[in-house]
Amino acid sequence: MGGDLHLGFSIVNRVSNSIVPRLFIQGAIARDFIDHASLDPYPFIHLGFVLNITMYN
Amino acid sequence: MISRCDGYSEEILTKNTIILYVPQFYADRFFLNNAQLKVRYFGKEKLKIRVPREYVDITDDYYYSRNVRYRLSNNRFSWEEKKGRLRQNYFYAKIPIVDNRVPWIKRMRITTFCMYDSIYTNSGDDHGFLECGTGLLVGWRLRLDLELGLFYQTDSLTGYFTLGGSYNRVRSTASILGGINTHASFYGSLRYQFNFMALPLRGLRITKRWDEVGTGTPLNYVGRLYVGTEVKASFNK
Repeated sequence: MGGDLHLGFSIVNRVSNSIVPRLFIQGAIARDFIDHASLDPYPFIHLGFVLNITMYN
Repeated sequence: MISRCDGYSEEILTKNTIILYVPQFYADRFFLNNAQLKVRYFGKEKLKIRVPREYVDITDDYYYSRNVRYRLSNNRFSWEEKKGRLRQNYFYAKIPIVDNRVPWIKRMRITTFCMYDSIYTNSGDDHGFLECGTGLLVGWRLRLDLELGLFYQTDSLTGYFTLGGSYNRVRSTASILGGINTHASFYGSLRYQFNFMALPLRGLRITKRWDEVGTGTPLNYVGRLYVGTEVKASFNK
């Protein structure tokens, strides 16, 4: 279990307002809260694809 | 003058039809089809529009509006002139992106209005030029999120699939996600992100050419820069 502070860039396609795909890449400085062997902050790269489905507007 | 009375003829007039002359905001389609658009990186007014001088009546007032039929919230804007051999052929204006859309440009016109006829019965004005999403989030929404991702940390690569929900405001998003990672263990995340910059991707083009904004031209792809913080749990058997 850990936490991070990140900076990211995402591309969103707004063809539909109800289902919105998003591609993101973010870099972070992360730190583990439990593993005491890696308490020092470390770099962290995160790629993802999200489908946002609007439930309530 | 634009008539919205179908069958404006002797026959109707003999039936005691009452015709009113009323001011009304109208999208100027000829003007709109000859406008060109650029996206600005900075500033509140994210769109720059230019129109050949001969198509702008500088003595008239021009407005931008979220909706072609919306009778309120028509915001007036002004034109600028620029020096230079090519630039002096155009009038320029800066307008904001309104409610996820490039707004309609309208002018006030006097039209006839048949009494007892709904003012909303006119057709043909609700699609076309500039009716396009830009992807800048407005308002707030509750969303279901399906997320597929990959992260690299301390020499290990982990993939995951999660299902969760997010609460979205104009510039910020808070989400909670839970699912499974590629180690066949639980992956969960609590995340907050703040978008400090959002632009339609055509605004990021290096050439920065003026776009011919014809009917229905979409501006659907949006790039966003954001900062955020995340607490996550990813277990490994």
